[in-house]
Amino acid sequence: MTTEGVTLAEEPDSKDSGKRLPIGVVLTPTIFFAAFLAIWELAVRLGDVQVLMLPAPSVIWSRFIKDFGLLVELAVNTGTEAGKGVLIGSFIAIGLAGLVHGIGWLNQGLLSYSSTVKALPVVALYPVMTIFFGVTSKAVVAMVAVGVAPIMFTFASRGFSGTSEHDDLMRSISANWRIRMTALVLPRALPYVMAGLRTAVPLSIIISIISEYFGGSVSTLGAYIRRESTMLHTVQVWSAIVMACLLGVLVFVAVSLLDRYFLRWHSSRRET
Amino acid sequence: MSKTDLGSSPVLSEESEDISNPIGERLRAGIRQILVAIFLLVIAAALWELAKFVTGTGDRTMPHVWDILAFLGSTTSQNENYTWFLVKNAWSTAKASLVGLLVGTVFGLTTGISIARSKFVGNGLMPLIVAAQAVPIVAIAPALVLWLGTGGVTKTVITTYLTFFPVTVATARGIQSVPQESHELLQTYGASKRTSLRLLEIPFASPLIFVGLETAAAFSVVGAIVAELPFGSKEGLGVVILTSWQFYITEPRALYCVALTSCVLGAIFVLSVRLVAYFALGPRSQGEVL
Amino acid sequence: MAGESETLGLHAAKLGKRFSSKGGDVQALEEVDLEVKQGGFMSIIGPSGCGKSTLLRAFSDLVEPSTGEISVNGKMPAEARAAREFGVVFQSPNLLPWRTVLRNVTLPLQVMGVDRPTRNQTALEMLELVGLGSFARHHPWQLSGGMQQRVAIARALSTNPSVLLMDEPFGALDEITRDRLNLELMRIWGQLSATILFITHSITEAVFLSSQIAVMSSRPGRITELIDVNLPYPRNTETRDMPEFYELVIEVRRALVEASAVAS
Repeated sequence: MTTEGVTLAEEPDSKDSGKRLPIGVVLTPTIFFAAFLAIWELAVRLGDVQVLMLPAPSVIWSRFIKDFGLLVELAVNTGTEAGKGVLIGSFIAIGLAGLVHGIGWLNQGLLSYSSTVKALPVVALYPVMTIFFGVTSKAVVAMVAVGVAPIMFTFASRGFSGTSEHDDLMRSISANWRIRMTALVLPRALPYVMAGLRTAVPLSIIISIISEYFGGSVSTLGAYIRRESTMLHTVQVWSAIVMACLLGVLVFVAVSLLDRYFLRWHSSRRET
Repeated sequence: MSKTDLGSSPVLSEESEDISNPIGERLRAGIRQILVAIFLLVIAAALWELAKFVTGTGDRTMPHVWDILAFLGSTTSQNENYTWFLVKNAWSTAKASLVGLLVGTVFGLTTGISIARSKFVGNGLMPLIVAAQAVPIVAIAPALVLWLGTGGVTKTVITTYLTFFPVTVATARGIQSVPQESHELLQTYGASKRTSLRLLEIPFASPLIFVGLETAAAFSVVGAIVAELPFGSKEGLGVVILTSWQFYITEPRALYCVALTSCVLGAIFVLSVRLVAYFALGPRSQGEVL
Repeated sequence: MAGESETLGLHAAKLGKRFSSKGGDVQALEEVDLEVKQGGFMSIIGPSGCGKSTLLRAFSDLVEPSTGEISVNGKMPAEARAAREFGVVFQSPNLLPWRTVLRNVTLPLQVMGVDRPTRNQTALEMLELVGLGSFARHHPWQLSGGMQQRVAIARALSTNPSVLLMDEPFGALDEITRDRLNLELMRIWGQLSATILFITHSITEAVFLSSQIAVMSSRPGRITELIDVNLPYPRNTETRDMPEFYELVIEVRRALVEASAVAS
């Protein structure tokens, strides 16, 4: 049964399968999500759970709608901090990867390092950041940059390390450094950079919210969540969480779209 | 049916690649990596001192490296060796991380397998799981404390939550990428689902599962520290971080020490997973140990 | 199946297979009749996508036919599979990279629940048979493509099947390696008395190996011609220099051209 399904699906209509999204891909998660919400709602109502403990989805939703303007403002501020951090972190990481990619042992060393730096607990480092930047928005940006840089370094360094027949081609036409960079090295590294961003950007949102939670600019999602939770405004906290998830999904979609645009020539992106 | 006799055809002897002693080579590579890592640590310390010197930053913001290290030898107000104090708290955090990591891994593996096995469950759960990773756990932590108190249960729930997702996603992706041909191979032998899980799917997916486990290990430490932060916990690195932060003006070195300890704990967790992968997978492990 | 006086190694009668999908139905096989005597060597040759692999997959119980009858040693493919009547060699070696060569060969026996000493011994014998006895402890990546495919053959033989189903096993190899493996296969076939169904799109390979060649046309996939290969066994390098060999090559090529003319 299964074997047939796979083998024949590929044969006759591989060309137009990309355009038509199978209903299941959209419908099934929706059903699961709806079921999840329904169980939550029922559990809260039937179990007579206090709002303080866990509000029902319907209650959270109405609060979310009510505070929508405020939440958007908070999300924009959080997103801006995360975005700045990603830009700075990526810039440093890609630059560094470009600089050391010729030096094998140093590159290797930094690679093994950055794979360990990824394990560093953000929450432990944020207080240190505030020593340098004060309890400000800058500390949040710096924290995001520090969190994002090792990921981007790993991916960028992989992108720079590729050699191919194209190098021979460039040599055979005596291309100068600038042409080699713009026509070959950078485009070849681009898929890796984009792959790095797909991991780094959603992570940057989480890092900035955690950082904001401990201090930083006042009108951000993290700070709002902390303020409301100390006052036991559970519904407000949950509506901010909904906003945070939406923001996470939004940036993920945005990166995927960018990825698709920049890498439309890349073979792996053609079908999906 | 006329058939050949044995000797008439030449027996082939194609050459295979020579395999040199892989264990010795891997050991040497490992030692080289450790040396490079130590070298880079020294470089980092030197850069720290250089930056301090060039910018003229005071000892309050950037204490000397040796001052920070020396502080590890001091005694706390409870007349305790500071290093011992840190290790004790780190151990408390580590226990919570480990429990959460184990529980999260068990849940993650089972969920990942069922996602890979059933198209319906996979289609339905996968996007939700990816989205659920965006939930900032610090935000839910206060609510959890209301239900479960500040004890070990809250810690376990938070660390389990954080470790569950990377393992689930890695397991599902790993099993889904088993080539169709390999499935058919086992099918022709009439292997049961359970047999092909054991002989094919788990071994095939394990390099990817270990990558997910590495992420999970890092998250488990973060989760345990987060769980210790705001809720009247008695011990753990999270508590020490908060108190050191509060008394930063009087003793800046304490904050650096606890931040470093947290980093070391995170690194130990990740490196342990990598070490296990290294021995479990042999040449198939994704990266080097360090 | 019923009424045969002698049990055939492989038998298909009016076999049809229709794949339905969103893009419309594809008739992969239509009215295919095929008989291979026990111990016979049948090659199936035809253009890409003519359904020859589907035919083999129907025998190996990976595809269920839509119409017609099919049997392996007089049994339904599913029964034959349960009784380990056949072994399959796939297009790629399909070895599990984390297992040593020996443990790749023991895989089917492990699935069957054979105890470890027995299955190791059987696997070693099979590896000796394909000339790779000294590579038992190697991993697949340490072997060349041709050697890997020989391991795959050893694996297919490990359950001691009386039928071997081979789906373009040497298609991905270079011509020199392929010629050597063809000789090797002849030697192995000489030692066992297995029925072999061999899918290929190399004409010389088909002529060199088979006692009979079935030529297939595509869309719908059907057998257009059966050619008997009356070259003497044992076959060896000299076989390829015989004038009869060339005549047969020419005949198969003509049959292939006619088959494609029928299709278009």
